[in-house]
Amino acid sequence: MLEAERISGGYGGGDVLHGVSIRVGNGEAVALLGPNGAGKSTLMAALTATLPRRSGVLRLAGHDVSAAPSHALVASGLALVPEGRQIFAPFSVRDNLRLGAMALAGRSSLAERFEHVYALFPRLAQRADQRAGAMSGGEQQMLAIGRALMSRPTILLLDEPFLGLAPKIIDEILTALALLRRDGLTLLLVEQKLPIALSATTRAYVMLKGEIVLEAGCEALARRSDIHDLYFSLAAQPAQK
Amino acid sequence: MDDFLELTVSAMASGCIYGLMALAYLIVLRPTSIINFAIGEWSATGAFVGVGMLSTLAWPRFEGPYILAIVAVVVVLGLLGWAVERLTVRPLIRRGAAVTSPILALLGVLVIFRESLTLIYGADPLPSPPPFGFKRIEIGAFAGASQQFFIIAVTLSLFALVWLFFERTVWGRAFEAVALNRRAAALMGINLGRVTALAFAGGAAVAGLAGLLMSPMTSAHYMMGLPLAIQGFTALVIGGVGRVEGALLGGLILAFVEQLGARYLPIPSGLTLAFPFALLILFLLLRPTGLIAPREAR
Ligand SMILES: Nc1ncnc2c1ncn2[C@@H]1O[C@H](COP(=O)(O)OP(=O)(O)OP(=O)(O)O)[C@@H](O)[C@H]1O
Ligand SMILES: [Mg+2]
Repeated sequence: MLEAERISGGYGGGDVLHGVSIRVGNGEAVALLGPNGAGKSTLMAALTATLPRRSGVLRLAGHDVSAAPSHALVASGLALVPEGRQIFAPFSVRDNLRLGAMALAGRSSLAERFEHVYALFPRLAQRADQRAGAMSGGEQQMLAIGRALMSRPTILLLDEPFLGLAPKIIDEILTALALLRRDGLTLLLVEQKLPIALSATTRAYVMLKGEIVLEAGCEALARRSDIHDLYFSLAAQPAQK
Repeated sequence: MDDFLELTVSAMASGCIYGLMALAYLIVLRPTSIINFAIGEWSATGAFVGVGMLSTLAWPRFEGPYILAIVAVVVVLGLLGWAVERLTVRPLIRRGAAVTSPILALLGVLVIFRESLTLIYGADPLPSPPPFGFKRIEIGAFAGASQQFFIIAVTLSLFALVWLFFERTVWGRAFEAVALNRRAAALMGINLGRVTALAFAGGAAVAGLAGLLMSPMTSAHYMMGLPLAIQGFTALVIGGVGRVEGALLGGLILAFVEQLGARYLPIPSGLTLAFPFALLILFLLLRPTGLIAPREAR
């Protein structure tokens, strides 16, 4: 579905990503784990062509899209729920969702998309006319996910969507993600907490200092004692060499 | 009192022109963060294109409908704005240049346009026929030249249209989304390059229209762009760089201050541009967001 090969790049000066390769199969749900500053969000920017500088190969559904601009990637079925939600706060919930469908062709499918998102997150339907910035953090996150779904993606990237949310809201969103998976949506979830990643995905990459240092099935990862120790030991390894 | 009512109409008309110039800045500035001083020259170009349609091309005098001149100005200037974006702004953005680079490049464009106008049309002013002749019109207590009422009517309609575009259409929302958060807008599938090109085309068309509307009072002249660029920029700063309605408000305030000042204060007529500059400095110091603040991103 999505293949990234030897992706390097950054914001200006030095590289943040150093030859990162990941692949996400059709219908798969994959986690990207790593501590603060590892470069997870930078990789999301690279995958969506919003990083200022990038090299490497990007393939989407078998097609080489290394040179495609962001809006073309969205049109070909790749959507990102960015870190920090990045909703358009002054706009209504409905306008935010409508903007998510900018790359969608056809009026009839627009109505179908609204229905789909409102069915997944009924709170958004209740708040359709409200100013998006006036909603609670959990509702804003639902809006950010709903907005990304408006473009009818085949693969959805989520960058730490659970950060700072109450456990009840986290469960609600996890349920929604499970429903989406059941309908065949491919997921790549950036997360710092292993338990959450385990409940939503089946395979995981661990990223440290701009490199993938580990790839494992989530069950195997779960058997390892503590993810924070794992980060720590992995981070220490290159120094020992 | 009659005096004042007459001044009201002429100040309204000038204010509308300034408002249109401010709108031309705004349409480009909002989604791109680029202040395009070339719009002064683009309004002069609009005046020449319109006058060309109305007289030179079909000499001695083209008696067709004025709307044809308006359409020609909007189309030609729109294409010019589009082309300038393609040729100067886009290559700079693609190479990752800072936002100051396009602003400087557009100052170069300004000079190119001004020199081209003198080459094509000469340095002498070209008289521009007003669509309703030189009649005086009186509406109740308000009186003024027919052109002044025409300017007011066209400007108010155009502002209504532009307001509807930004507030009620998806593409208007997309423009505003780019202004609020470029990256998030790109992630929505909005083509940033297309928005930038459309912004330049729209800004150029509005500036050209302002030049055409203004030209019967001043004649089409290659130097007419500079004061318009300054007055429009002042109107923008007064009204606030966020909203369409602010541009009109800023234009009207500037025009009333100018005309009241010119009438009641002992200021030599050569110093009329002192008003926009004084107001500009005042607002930049005391209220840099203008009267109508832009929407907050958060
Ligand atoms: N806009 C930016 N400009 C310059 N450097 C940046 C920018 N964003 C991130 N960085 C740098 O890139 C590195 C990786 O940051 P990134 O945000 O990708 O990490 P992350 O894994 O997403 O961390 P977190 O879990 O805290 O979100 C950091 O050193 C950071 O300082
Ligand atoms: Mg991050």
